[in-house]
Amino acid sequence: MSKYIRLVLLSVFILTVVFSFLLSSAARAVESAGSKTFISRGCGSCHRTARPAGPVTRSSELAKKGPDLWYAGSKFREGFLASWLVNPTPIRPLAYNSLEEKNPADHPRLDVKTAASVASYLMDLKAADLMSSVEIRPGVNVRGRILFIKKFACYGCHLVNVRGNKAGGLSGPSLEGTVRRLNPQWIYSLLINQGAFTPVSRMPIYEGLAREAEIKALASYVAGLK
Amino acid sequence: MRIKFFVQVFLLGPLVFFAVPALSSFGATPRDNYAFYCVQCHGAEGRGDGPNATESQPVDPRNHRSAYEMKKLTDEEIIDVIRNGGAATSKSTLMPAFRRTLSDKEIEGLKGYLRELCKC
Ligand code: HEC
Ligand code: HEC
Ligand code: HEC
Repeated sequence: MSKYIRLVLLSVFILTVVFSFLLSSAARAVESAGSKTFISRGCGSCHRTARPAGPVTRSSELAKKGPDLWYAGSKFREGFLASWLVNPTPIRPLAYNSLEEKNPADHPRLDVKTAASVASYLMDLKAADLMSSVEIRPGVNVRGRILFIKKFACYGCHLVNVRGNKAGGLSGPSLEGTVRRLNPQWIYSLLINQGAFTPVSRMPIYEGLAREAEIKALASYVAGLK
Repeated sequence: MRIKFFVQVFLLGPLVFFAVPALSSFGATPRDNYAFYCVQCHGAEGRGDGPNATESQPVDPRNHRSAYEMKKLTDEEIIDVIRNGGAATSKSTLMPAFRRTLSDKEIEGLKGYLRELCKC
């Protein structure tokens, strides 16, 4: 009797091990297909997928042709990349690193299946500096709204949606629809430690201008923008 | 005496060596800093017409070429407003505070550059 139970337990154990191995290697196969596509489609000619080893300079950053993706898995919300890569509607109103030209809206498109595999590869690129233990709840945040509009006037460089109309400046990425796009904890991490993600940026540093509680409120407000 | 020299060379030397290049704006002239941070609002020539000066904005950025406007500000006020933002001179907070972004020396340099732009 006990021998029988032991046999059953043992076989359940073995089956679980084999099964999870198969599942994880299947997942890995999808990921590596994603990274292969990333290389074969030339995505790497405009995007960095590893943190630069040396110090970055203003000229190195202004020479970049696209935003960094080495922290994509920390920056984006689950599901966003797979749909954006199929239909890449402009995020930045202006062409990348330009203060004159409009965004040409000509980003390479992927089919649904390829986009899913590239997205899963990119979502695995995590940043050590993400402050994942801080809870940032996206949504209506009156304090955050006042800070965003009055105290720091973040709309000076960022478009937001005001009752269906675009309002604000153009030099930063649009913050319309961040509720679907950006991970709330990444927004907080960026505001409290810009140097970890964008050490050279036209955006002023807010750490030290805003208190920690204010940065939390700002992050929560921005994370909920529709 | 000798110990002091030792401390300066071997402890402070490397500190300066490592700390200075850590600033990404190292070696940037006031003109470079203006182009990187101010042009987005104040415009390529400082006329207050950068890409962020859209119709939806409640206040236009200052025209830095206007001697009439810029003469109203003392050097101290210019430095104060760049350091602490529009609120420092009771203006719009659309003018951001740069004290965490730029060093005091860089802000002083920008003040000089603004005086060149307005010729005032
Ligand atoms: C010619 C340069 C170029 C190539 C090639 C390119 N991209 Fe991009 N990519 C850009 C630019 C510029 C943006 C910013 C677009 C915007 O803001 O609307 C961007 C944005 C992105 C974003 C959003 C990042 C963010 O921070 O907003 C992702 C994800 C992305 N690209 C993935 C890819 C993938 C995957 C490929 C290959 C299939 C690819 N890109 C090929 C230039 C490029
Ligand atoms: C002077 C212009 C300026 C102001 C003011 C400004 N930003 Fe930014 N912001 C930028 C730029 C430019 C970027 C792109 C950063 C980069 O890639 O280097 C950015 C990036 C961001 C991002 C990341 C968006 C993305 O998709 O990558 C967030 C979130 C953000 N800003 C929030 C804020 C908040 C909150 C405030 C106010 C406290 C603010 N910004 C004020 C210029 C500005
Ligand atoms: C996000 C947009 C923005 C950026 C970036 C910006 N400014 Fe301004 N600035 C403004 C606006 C708007 C005003 C006008 C405020 C008002 O009249 O209430 C202004 C006003 C000023 C004034 C006049 C203040 C006064 O009391 O009359 C000075 C000086 C100035 N800016 C310098 C700078 C410098 C130097 C930089 C770059 C380091 C810079 N600004 C970057 C938007 C900006």
